[in-house]
Amino acid sequence: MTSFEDKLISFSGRHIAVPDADNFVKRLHGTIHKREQKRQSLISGVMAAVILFAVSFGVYQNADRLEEIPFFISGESFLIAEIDDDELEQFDLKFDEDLVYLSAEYLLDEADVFGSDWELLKELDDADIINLEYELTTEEQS
Amino acid sequence: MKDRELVERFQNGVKSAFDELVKRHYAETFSLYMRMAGDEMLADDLCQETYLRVYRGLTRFRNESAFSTWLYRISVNVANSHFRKEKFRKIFVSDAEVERHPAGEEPDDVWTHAGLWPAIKKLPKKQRTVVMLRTFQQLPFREVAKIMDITENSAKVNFHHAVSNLRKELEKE
Repeated sequence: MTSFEDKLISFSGRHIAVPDADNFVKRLHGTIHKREQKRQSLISGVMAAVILFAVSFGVYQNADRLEEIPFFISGESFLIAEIDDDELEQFDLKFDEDLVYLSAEYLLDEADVFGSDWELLKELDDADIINLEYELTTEEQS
Repeated sequence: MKDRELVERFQNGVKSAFDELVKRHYAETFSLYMRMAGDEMLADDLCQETYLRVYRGLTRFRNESAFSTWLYRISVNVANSHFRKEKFRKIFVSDAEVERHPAGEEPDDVWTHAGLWPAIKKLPKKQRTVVMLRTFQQLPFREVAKIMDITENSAKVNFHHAVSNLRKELEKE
């Protein structure tokens, strides 16, 4: 062995003070729990998006047949027919306000989960929905 | 109790078996990252990432290789992932901010963490991995080869190239 290799090995052989393993395990469980919660939120979010997409797609596909459904009878919808113009305007305003408020609240609540595009991808990866690091998954098999 | 038995217990629903596995291997994993990163906080972060991956993958682990070999494979992947991210980060942040110099180490001296690591980080992935496992964990070439899924000869050749590249790089300084 050359002296260069000796130096390299002696450099790496220095003593390392290892922190308490029990404490590490405790923190690790905290992280696992947190990630699990994130994963669940993410799965719920993705499911909701898929359902919304499916419903929207279904409605779009059947747009020409909507008049067959009683609720959508043009001009005579029982919901719209009973509301006069002033009431309707007030209803719209309140609805818009509520929608903005609820959307803001949702985004603030979910900011932790949907922090950034990259984080979202990482979460999808963690939840095994997509696979970011193909190389790793094959290498990490036993 | 052997690692294999602990893995089987975990796969049969005994969650505490995972804790036992972590406690058993934590010191080795932490030392590897500490030698690599020279920074306790970063070593701790990398350890967390490693054992999170172990937790996620343990139910699928087939006990075909030793648990420690699999754990090293994951550790090496986590380390290489970190290097890759660091490389991208360097594009946006100046080198001075990225390089970590542990207290009391002068970057001018090559035989310090601050002097040696920049040179090791420049090595190709295979050579860097062999150096990490062979010199920092002092594993025999047979074990290094198993972890990297290459032949023992290839591990030796990569180590030889790594050492000569490191020597050249450090002599430049």
